[in-house]
Amino acid sequence: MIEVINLSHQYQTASGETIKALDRVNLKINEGEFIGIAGRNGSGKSTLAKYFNALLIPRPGEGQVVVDGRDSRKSELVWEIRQRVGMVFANPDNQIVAPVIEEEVAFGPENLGIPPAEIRHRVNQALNQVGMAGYEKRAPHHLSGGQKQRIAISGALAMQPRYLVLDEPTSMLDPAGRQEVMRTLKQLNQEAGMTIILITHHMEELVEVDRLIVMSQGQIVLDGPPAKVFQETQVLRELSLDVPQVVKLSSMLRQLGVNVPWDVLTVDDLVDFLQPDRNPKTGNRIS
Amino acid sequence: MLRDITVGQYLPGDSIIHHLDPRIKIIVTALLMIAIFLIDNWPGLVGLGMLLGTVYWLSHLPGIMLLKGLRPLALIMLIALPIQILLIPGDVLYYLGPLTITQQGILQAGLLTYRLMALVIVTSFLTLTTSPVALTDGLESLMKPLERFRVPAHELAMMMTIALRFIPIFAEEAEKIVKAQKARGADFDSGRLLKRMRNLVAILVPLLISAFRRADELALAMEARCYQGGKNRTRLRQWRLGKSDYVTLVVGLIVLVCSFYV
Repeated sequence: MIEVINLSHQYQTASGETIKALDRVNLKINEGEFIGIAGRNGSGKSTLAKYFNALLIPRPGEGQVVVDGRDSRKSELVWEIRQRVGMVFANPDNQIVAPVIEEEVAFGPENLGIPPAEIRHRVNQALNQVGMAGYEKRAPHHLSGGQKQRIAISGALAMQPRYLVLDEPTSMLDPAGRQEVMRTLKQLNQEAGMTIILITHHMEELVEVDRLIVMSQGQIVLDGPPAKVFQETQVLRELSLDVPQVVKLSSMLRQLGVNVPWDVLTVDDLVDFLQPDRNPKTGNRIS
Repeated sequence: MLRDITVGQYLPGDSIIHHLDPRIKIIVTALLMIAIFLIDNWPGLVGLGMLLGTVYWLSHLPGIMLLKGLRPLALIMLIALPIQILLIPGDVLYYLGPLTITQQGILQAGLLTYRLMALVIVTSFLTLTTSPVALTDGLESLMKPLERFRVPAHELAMMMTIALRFIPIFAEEAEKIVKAQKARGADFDSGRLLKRMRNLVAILVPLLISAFRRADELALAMEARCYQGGKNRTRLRQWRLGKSDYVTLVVGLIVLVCSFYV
């Protein structure tokens, strides 16, 4: 479990203004969850991500972050926390260190001082998990954006973390790459039970998560299953966050008197609901 | 396109020479380079030639690649050879006005040519059959003992690794910037040398700024993956010396010893 307790973070801009990037945030993340964190630029979501794996350490009096009982303010625990919480950043090019894929995936385990035979085993496993086995000897700059980001994910997985934090991992990818990464994350969550914390401003991606957290001005505004969060249309509009197309369409249908349930979030759900064998007013099957 | 550029001139292959331990290759290359400068008699030169021929045969390298490596030598030879031939005193063969061509001059020039060619060929064997990554690995592990004298062996190797990784990225980015600046009316192809160089600023400044931003992000990503420098770090790839590595090392040593006495 990752516990964020009363966490604040402020910094000064060049003009001397004090900005609260995080304002007394409290949050509990359980193992196995697939969490989405959404918010506009400057809402504090990326700052929060850096606290999860001790890239940022709470200053005295500004709260604490505890990962599986390890308080990140204790400097001797920092490396253990970073091993437990894997991190993937937005730009795949700027986080791949080695000029050969297998060496890239091995970078984390090498830093942990793991014996070579075990590293080899982890590299194979991590590449398998993201569907990139067979690319061991290739050079990263010959891969597509989606593939590079999957390599970055497998680099984090090779450290055998409990949690995987992804800070806008799809923001620099084309739609195909975005789907590749989302499919990989879903698979990791469902098959390997990996806890995933996905930070993004693509609301379409957040349809897939179990729990959706919306941030604004350094605070958590909404927290719940996506079907619940997307009901708060008023709040979301005020934050000028886009809701997924299907949610938009459903709410328009609702205004027209079609009783679309709130848990309809994907095209498939909606098509299934609108099948002619259902009564459009009640949503019950006619037969 | 630029994204296909590679550093060095490595030609992937499957020969005995390709599979030698990079550390051994670096050491033996150094040994042979010393030997090349020591050998100065006919049996030695012929022996050396036969050795290089054998390595060439074992390496399965296309001969054209070795010849390409020799090309830059031509210019040096063009300047050095006449000087050698004309200025070394000895038994005169021909008179060319005030200058003379001597037997010793011709022999010295021949020896110089032979040595320079052998030198280029030996280093080409190393760079053509060893990937830059293996080369970096080899250098790091050879320099490891120097860490006691505060030589930052691991850091140097890490810098080389990162450079290898980012050269194609910067090449691609430079290409983009050139296009972007051209679209804004920048002119990189005409004008005097000085003006052209000044125009390059429009490429270098954005490239430099982006380099700093990338460096910042990379450092963060490395820290997130528990990078703490070379201490207690293990490596995925382990180089273990095999029979052929020992044989190569012994051959290198024998050649060096012989070059002292022959």
